[in-house]
Formats: sequence, structure tokens, C-alpha cells
Amino acid sequence: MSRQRCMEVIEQAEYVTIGELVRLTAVRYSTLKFYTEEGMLPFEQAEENLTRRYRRVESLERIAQIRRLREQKKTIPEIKEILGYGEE
Amino acid sequence: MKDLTLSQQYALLALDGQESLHPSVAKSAVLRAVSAAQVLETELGKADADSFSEFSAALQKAVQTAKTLKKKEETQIEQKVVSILEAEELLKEVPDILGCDMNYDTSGVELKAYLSDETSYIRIKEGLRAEILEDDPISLEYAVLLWLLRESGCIHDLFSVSEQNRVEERMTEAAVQDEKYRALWEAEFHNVFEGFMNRFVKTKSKLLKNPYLEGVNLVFPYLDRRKSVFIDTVIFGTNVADRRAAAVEHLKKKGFAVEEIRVGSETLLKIGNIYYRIFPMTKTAYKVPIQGVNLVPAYWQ
Repeated sequence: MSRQRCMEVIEQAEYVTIGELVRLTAVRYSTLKFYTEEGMLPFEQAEENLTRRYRRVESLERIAQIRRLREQKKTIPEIKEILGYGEE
Repeated sequence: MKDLTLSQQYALLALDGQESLHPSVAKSAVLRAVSAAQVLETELGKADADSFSEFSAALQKAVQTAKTLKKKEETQIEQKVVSILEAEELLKEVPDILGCDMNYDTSGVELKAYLSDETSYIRIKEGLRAEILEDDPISLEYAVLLWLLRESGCIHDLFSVSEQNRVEERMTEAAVQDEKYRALWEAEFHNVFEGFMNRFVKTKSKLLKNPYLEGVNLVFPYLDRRKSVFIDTVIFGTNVADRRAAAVEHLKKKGFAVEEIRVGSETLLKIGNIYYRIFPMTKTAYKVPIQGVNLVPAYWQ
């Protein structure tokens, strides 16, 4: 059984879960999951534990960047291209 | 960003869209769950909350409190929790969408509903969805929140039909791993009538997996927390987009924050935190056809 981390702790943490990223950014879970699956939001996964962990600072910057690009009406393939994840 | 208590988090999710001025079965179920949440949040905050016996005792106390709650106490709890959330600007009263329905619009009945702050609502709802649907261990706080939502019949508002199967799997997994979760899932405080309503809504939600069957919802507008409405503000000879624009205009005049959301080939209306499908319809009253639009809550697909 685990306990929920309070916002103060999450805001200082090096790594966060996708649920904590949702709480930090107020971006929908399905959106963050989509970004993850599209490779736009890098994560780390420890071998013995399948839980995905996101680097908090980098992930928040990345989400803000994607949001800005979406506001500029960029499509997902265009955003991936800009972020350097375009199809090879 | 401030941490909200368990009862406040739950109230923000469950009171959203509920009628505020009049009592209802759905609101009564929510208020009993708030009373249970208030008992549990106090117990979970204690240092020895991790022991099973302490947790089990707290759970029994919470269930008993919810089961024996009187109508007068429900009103007091509503006033208290609403005043706290209003003071924090997390909840407000807005005109109820049902008041825009043709039959209510002219009746002179005042209808208001609670509207949760969108950002906080998304944070709580999506945080819960992420934790339950991901493979991470479920925290005790989110497990209790899920239990409260189950007992007050709000699960279908948060999870799609296919997601509900995953929720069930996760609940079973958690129960196998920890006896606290098993005790939690076994505890019940909903009454028989609400249990019937929950099953009805769940069946309806399954039925409405096909969006073309969503009209069934129009037959039972009161057995759900969300409402279907018919708006008769349409001019003859207009197309679908014009009718939508007329309906949006009408809703805005009534004080609703309406946003048009394009989803594939369809345009949904986001009113408060709820999404609606909108389509033209004709109703007949005393053999007179009335042109208008129907707004039907868009369930999670």
C-alpha cells in the first residue's frame, strides 16, 4: 500500500509519475499518455519495477513547449518534427 | 497549489453538475459520501493509520456515519462543504442546464447547479484516472476516493465502459495485495434504491456505447446526474451549424460558459465540465411541430 505524495513534495521531486504530472500540469491523463506513446514525453523505467517515472523539470518544460506549439495550430507530426522525433 | 482534503476533492468531483437549490437522490448519495470522507480523512491523517485494525475501525465508523445520516445533517454538510469550497473559489453556483429545456424555460422554476473550478476538477479527476488506469500501485487516498465515487454512483462519469473493466481488475489486484483494500471494496453504504439506479445507469452507459443510441437518455432525464435538454430557439430554414449557433447564443444569454469542441466530424458543446452532443430535432406539442436542438450528455466512449 502506498500513500499519496503531497503537492509540496511533488513540486520538489526529481521524478514523478504520470498521475503526479497530471496534478502538476492539469493536462488530461489521456493526453499525457498519448504524448508518451508518441515518444514526445521521455520517461525512465527501472528494470525491477515497471512503473514509468518522468523527470519532473524536463517533462514540465516539454509539456509547456507542446502546449505552445498546439496553440500555434501545429499538428502532432509537425510538433514531433520540431522536437526532433520526426519519422526517419 | 494547495492540497485539498479527501472530502473536498470528492465534493469537487461529485457535486459538479448537481442541482444546488433542491434535494435529489443523487445529491443525497453524494452528501452521505462526503460525511464518510470526513470521518476517513481524519483517521487517515493519524500516525497509526497504516495499521489494518485502525483503518478497519475508521472504515466501519465512516460507513455507519453515512448510513445513519439524517436529511437535516445532509443539509448542514452541504452548506459547510459548499461554503468552504466557495470561499476558496473552487465551486460556484451557476444556472442549471435543465432550466434551458423548453418545458422548464417557461415554468418560472429557478434551477441552479454547482460548477467546480475546471483546473482543480481536471487535476483531481485525471490524477485519479491516471493512478487507477496505470500499472503503478494505487495509493490509499485514491482508493478511498474511488470507493466513495463507487458508493455514490459516479464511476460512469469518470471511466468509460471499457475502462470500468480495467478499474475492476485493478481493484481485484489491490485487494489481493492488501487487506485494507479488500475491506474497503467490501464496505457499502449506498441504499437499495440507489443501488438499482447505479445498475440502471451502468446498463444505460453500456447501451450508449453506440452514439446513435444516446437518444435513449432523453426518456430518463432524471435518473442521471447529467441532463438532456431540448432548446426551441431555432429559426426555420436554417442548417445544422446555424441551429447550433442559435442554441449556443441562447445558452450564453442564459449565463453559461459554452465552448464548441471539434471531435472528428462532430462538434460537441462543453458546458461547465460536461460535454454534450447537439443535434437538430422537432418536438410536437398539441400537433404543432416545434423546431429545436437536443443536447445529450456525451458519455465516455
